[in-house]
Amino acid sequence: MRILGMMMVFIACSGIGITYSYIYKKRVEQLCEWKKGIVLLKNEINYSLTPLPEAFEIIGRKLEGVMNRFFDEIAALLKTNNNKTMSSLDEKVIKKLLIDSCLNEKDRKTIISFIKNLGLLDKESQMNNLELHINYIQQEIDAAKKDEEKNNKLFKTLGILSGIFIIVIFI
Amino acid sequence: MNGNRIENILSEKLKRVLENENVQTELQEIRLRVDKPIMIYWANKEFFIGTDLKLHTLDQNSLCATNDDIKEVLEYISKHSLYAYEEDIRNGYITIEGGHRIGLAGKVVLENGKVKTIRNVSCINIRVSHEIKGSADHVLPYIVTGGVIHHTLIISPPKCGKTTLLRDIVRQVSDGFMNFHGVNVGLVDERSEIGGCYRGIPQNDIGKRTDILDSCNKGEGLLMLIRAMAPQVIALDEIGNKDDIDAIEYAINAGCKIICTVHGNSIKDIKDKPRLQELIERKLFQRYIFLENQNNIGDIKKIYDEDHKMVSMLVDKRMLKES
Repeated sequence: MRILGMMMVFIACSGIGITYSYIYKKRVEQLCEWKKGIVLLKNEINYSLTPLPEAFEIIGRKLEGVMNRFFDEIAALLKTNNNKTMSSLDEKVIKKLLIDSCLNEKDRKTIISFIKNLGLLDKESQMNNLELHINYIQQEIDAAKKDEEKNNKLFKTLGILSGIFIIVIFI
Repeated sequence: MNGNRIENILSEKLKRVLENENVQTELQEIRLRVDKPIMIYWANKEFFIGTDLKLHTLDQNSLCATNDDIKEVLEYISKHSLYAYEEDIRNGYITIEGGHRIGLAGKVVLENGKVKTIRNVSCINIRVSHEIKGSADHVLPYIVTGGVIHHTLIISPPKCGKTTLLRDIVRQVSDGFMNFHGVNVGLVDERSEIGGCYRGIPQNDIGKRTDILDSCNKGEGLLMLIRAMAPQVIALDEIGNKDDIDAIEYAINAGCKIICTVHGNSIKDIKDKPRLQELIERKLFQRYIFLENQNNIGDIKKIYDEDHKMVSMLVDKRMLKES
């Protein structure tokens, strides 16, 4: 019984550590997926002049996981929500679409502000806006990768060690 | 939600007015100009919107359009994607789903002497597409006699319904009517008014044997149709310049029948157009249809033959009742 309890504490603590390190890894993946989406959006606008609702729908099909759902939902929102401009889209609704993501608050705010600025731009301004956003996301990805490298091992080790620490205390 | 509904592109305020007043059926135009009263043309009458959000015939404390209203409508029209309509904006209008045409005016940006775009749009004219099936019923027996289609020129001043009439002629010639079996029709719709194409698909019924070239220059489009689609009849709206007339002459020589429209009030008016005058004098057109407004759009139609003798005068029954 005692050994079983010790094992459970160890597994729980290690699990928490692994989950935290997993969030860092996933954040990098999701930021990369978001960047891929924006690059595809840039191509859709530049070469096909596809309107935003259709462009989001097309790109959604090419992405995976959270971003696949996010692009799909934004497309549906733009198609059905006829009497709302992009700038007046409800932030809470967009935030809700990212609830399952591993992105942090700053990432979410950046995405929301990017979406809200898409509405009334001509092609040239739209291209500049997208280019700027892609560069910014790339910087975020680089920083997130560094964070991942730094924190991945740290959280895993911390989880395992805190499990051992608790077991030692109780012994 | 019906994608063809005009309400989908209106601001919340305007949407409420249209719903309250129930004007959707005979709505013709909505005009928005920055800081000027919003005007609605409904059942051939001009209305203003009062502070009570109801329609009034007099301009007293009328609701004015703001810059934000214009921007909002523009965003809905372009489906949040202004960049996708830059070519249309350059031409001064956007055709939306349902075939409705949105005219734009404002600060024009020029590049090498040509219009690059319209920036700061300050005036919007929403022209509601009206498809009146059967509007050509009474004129068709004069255009098609004994199974033969005559080269026809429809002449009318603006807002007399010549595009509506041409659309119905195209539909019936294409689908067939009474004992006439339909024929292949080629339609060059330079300003997307006849077919009301949205992404290349006609939103109006233009018949099952009609091939449409949307947003295409009339002269070039006509030649493309002859080469590629082998139409028996070619329909064009608002002919005028030398290239159009040259192409028409080419099409007639190629054995195609031409049905087209032109702005004008009388034969004299159109004879003032030099190249068109030549075609008229050579009697290439076999039917001339003049449209006039008395009480309703195009309620009087006068039909002449190639010798300019009146063949018939058709008067709308509603007008006879009213008089």
